[in-house]
Amino acid sequence: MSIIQKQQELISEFAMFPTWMEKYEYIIDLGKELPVLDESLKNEDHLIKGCQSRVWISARRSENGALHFTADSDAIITKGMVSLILRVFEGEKGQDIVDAPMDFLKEIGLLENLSPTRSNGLAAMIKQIKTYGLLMQ
Amino acid sequence: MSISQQILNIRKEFPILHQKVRGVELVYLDNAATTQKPEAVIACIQEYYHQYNSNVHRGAHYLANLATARMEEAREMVKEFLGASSVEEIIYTQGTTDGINLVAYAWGNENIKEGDEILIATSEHHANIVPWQELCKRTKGVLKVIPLNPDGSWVSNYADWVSPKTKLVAVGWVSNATGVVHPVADMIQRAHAVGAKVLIDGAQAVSHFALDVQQLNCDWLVFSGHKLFGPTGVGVLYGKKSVLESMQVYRTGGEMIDRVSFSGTTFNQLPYKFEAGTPHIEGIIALSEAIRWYKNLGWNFIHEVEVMQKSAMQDVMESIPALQWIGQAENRVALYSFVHPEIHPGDIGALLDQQGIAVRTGHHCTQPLWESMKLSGSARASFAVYNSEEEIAYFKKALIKTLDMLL
Repeated sequence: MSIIQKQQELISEFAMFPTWMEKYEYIIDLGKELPVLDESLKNEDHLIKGCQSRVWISARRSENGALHFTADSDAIITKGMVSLILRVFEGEKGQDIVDAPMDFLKEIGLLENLSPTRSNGLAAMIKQIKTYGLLMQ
Repeated sequence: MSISQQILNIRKEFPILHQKVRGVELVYLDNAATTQKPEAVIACIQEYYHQYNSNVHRGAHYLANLATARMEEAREMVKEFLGASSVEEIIYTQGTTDGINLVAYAWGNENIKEGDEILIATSEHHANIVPWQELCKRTKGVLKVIPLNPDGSWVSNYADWVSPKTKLVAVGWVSNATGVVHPVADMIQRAHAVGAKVLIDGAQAVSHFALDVQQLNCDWLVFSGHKLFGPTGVGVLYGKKSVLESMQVYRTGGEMIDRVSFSGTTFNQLPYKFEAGTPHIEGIIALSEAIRWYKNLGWNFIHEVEVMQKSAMQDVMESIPALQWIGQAENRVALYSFVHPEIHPGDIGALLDQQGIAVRTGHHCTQPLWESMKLSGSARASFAVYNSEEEIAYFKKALIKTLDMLL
């Protein structure tokens, strides 16, 4: 599945939940399902600056050039949002991650529903993922 | 008329409270950050711009005289509200932070010498910490800090932190993070006994109980208008006349001068000496309208409402298992900080927000307090006179649902 297809899939998934409380419930579930990040990786190098809660994202490049991400946060909603974004980028190549449009977040309606501090945090996460993409081509 | 009926009537005066956010009725519980404004205050600002907008203290024309008269009547209103002895003791500022900075520069620079001690408490807001840290950097003064009990109150031997070296005690009356009321009246006596001056940060106190600066005998008291149903950008520094007179000038420019020449400038009398530039005229007038409106409710009624809120909120705090209520000291205002051992406060805030409830989450500008409690912050529900028992019941339901979703 391409990045765009995965984004489309998320858009339709979110459309199934009529209320924002239900969408949040789904985000929380995604957060709970995200594998726990190894404590040794929860360090300054992986910490995303600009989030109200603490978020760590680490990336690894496999031989075929695909990037694999692991992440964690001390806030479950934040963790769910990281999980949602990582689902789109998991296993993709660096250049594809850099080039990927991010309009799907708008289509889900996520951005307008977030507080400014949270959407700044989201922007910081995306920037970090794209930076990994750029550096790990 | 029952209290709940009276609260309902008061709510009618607040246009902003009658709206849906995210599809549900707004429940505004972030009053420690800022209170909403009654129609009378909003109308007062509009009336100013519709009818008599003009610069004060200088124009020899009808509108200027009207604006000047209204602004000086406003000062009289603040004087009465605080129980000050004269209008010369009422300095308009931009708010609490501005007032503290004024004292730190205009009094502190001259009076704090190397080794002199400034005493604050661990419960202070950053606005009552950083200006003193900076003053200590400029003057080689020493900042001393009263520790807290686990319930958020000052340790009982707080007076031991007052020493012959203490030159200034600057303390918050009510903690914006826990709602705990601190024994400032006794502290003022202890400080004066060693010849120290006392500044009271009244930001969270003014909207909760009546105060009288002459009875308190503090040297300065600061507060912000926007936490007292008034507009943002305006606040008050009360200072004893003799103390204000002894202080250096702070901001300089127009309005605050007596005569300017290139061979030297002389300064205006109190209170204008500390009010450089065009003041926040409509803010000052609207703040006095807010005070008029608030006093009109009567302190007995305000107290009754707060007793109801505290009893209802105590039930919420105690009836939800695993919820940790932070700062449980008995002497308090209706402000409740809480955490859950397994949940980030930001998550609680986000889901309450989805249910139309406005609370604050984070460190509330009191990082040293949280550090002392080995926490990084909390969720905080803070109340004003328009918050009803029904809203607290809805808050409880929403909070239980929130915790269920997050666990």
